[in-house]
Amino acid sequence: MSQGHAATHDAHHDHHPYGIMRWIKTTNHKDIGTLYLSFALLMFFIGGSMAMVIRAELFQPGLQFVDPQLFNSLTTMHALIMIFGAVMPAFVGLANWMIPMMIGAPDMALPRLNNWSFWLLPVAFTFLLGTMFLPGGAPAGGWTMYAPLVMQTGDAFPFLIFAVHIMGISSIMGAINIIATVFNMRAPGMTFMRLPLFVWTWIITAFLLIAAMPVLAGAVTMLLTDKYFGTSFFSAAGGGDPVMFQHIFWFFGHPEVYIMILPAFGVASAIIPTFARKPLFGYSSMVYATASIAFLSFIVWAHHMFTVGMPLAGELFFMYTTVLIAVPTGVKVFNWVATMWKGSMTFETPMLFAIAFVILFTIGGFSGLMLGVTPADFQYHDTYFVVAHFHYVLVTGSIFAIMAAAYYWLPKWTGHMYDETLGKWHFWLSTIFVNVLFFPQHFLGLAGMPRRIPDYAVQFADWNMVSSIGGFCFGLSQLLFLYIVVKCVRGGAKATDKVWEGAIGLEWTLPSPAPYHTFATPPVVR
Amino acid sequence: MPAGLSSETQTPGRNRRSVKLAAWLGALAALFYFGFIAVNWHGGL
Repeated sequence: MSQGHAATHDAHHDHHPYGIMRWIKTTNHKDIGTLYLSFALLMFFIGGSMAMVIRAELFQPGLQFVDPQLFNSLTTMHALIMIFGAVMPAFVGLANWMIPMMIGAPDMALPRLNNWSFWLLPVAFTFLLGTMFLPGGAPAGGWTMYAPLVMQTGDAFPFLIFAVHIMGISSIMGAINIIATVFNMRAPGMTFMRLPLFVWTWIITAFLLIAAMPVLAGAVTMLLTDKYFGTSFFSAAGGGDPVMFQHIFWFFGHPEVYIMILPAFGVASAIIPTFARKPLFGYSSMVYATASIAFLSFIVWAHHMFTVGMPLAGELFFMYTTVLIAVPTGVKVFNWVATMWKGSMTFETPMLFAIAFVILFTIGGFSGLMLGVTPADFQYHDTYFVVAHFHYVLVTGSIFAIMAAAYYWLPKWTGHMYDETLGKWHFWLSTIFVNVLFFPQHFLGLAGMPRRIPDYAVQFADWNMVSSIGGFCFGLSQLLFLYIVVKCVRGGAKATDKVWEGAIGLEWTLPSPAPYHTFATPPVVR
Repeated sequence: MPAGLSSETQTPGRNRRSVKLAAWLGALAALFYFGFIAVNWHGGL
């Protein structure tokens, strides 16, 4: 693909407002991307601090630091914050920064909606985090909010429901904006099958968001009316069905898993070809595999609830569809490996994180297959094996991809190269300790340790201690990431426009840092 | 460049199309929201 560009033309009107009002009133996709990414980083550290307390409590058997109620609140809040506050906003931030520049658009299609999408998030998380200080404490029934347990939540309950609604509205508006942008704002010649894979994965994710988030909103609305308005959607005593909540929740919850991982696939598909200095292997198969995963994500939900009881045909259906997801996912992993095959590879920090993503996400995928096999799941369900599985998918999958993306695009955002030596230190410390943290949890789960407990039997002590040490070291390593980012924003070696030798795409034709306004005159893609 | 638009790419026609598409997608989201509550209505009351 070759392209003309209007970067130098744009540079002369690179003016923007200053001060706090710049950030509150901004409709600029780069500013809003920065806001999303900063918010996600803040939430990553708040959610991470909760994880540190959880791991401190589990360092040895017995109750040490927190009472069981607070422990349950911490696991619940850790999940809600990391999912809705860290991973999702981080990917929306990357989308805001990169999609307009990748498709040759001057901004998002609906910039004011974009501003509103972001600013709803601090409101939602003020409500959610504020529950920590309410009588009865923060929600403690798990992020899944299963009825009837969640009905025991104290004053925090309406705040939880309201916060989830606001997050949902924010996500839906962001998704609508991304679809409108890609459908209507592409530069001439940028056909759908020329779109970068990151853009493709985001279009599909946006459709997943529009289909899945209203389902969550509906479920929590029904919880709200059950508690305060006398309905019995999920109360057996009133003719409702508590298991129906689990079905509805997971009809949202499983696509949600792919909402958090498909953009990560897009990031890997951007970075691996750059550092292998080869075009992505099997571009169109990557697009179709992503779409297939998205479709399958809507017909696998009950694998989260095999043990709740359902007809044998249901158990078999959900087992087969779950295992079927391995096929398009395998296509993707094969294509990344084939892209690297005989490439002129170099191993800068983004590539290291991307390769670790491919390997470690695959471990999470395989343990997912194990959990998808119904009879085996009866053994693993609600054990630490599940905790190990989804942390491999979400930490070494989603978060490693976000780290890779941050290192990959930081020079384009800031105009400075990050400190490569420190970046490599961050990578190796993170990769070693994340495995020390989560791999032993497989053993604990297979040995029968239940999840969501503050205390445990003594036979689980050794691996819990190892896991906690891994957790503390992984957590501390992330402070290094914060230092590297701040250092890069404040200065460093000047980044070139293209930054990486093997980089391909419209965003690399722009100067570094990317001017405030780009592609006011659309480039022509040939 | 037409007044009120940020660039040559964002023509009035494209802008209208984006708003229309956003409205349709928003309506679809609302349909899912109310639909899921409606199909559970029998249990709810």
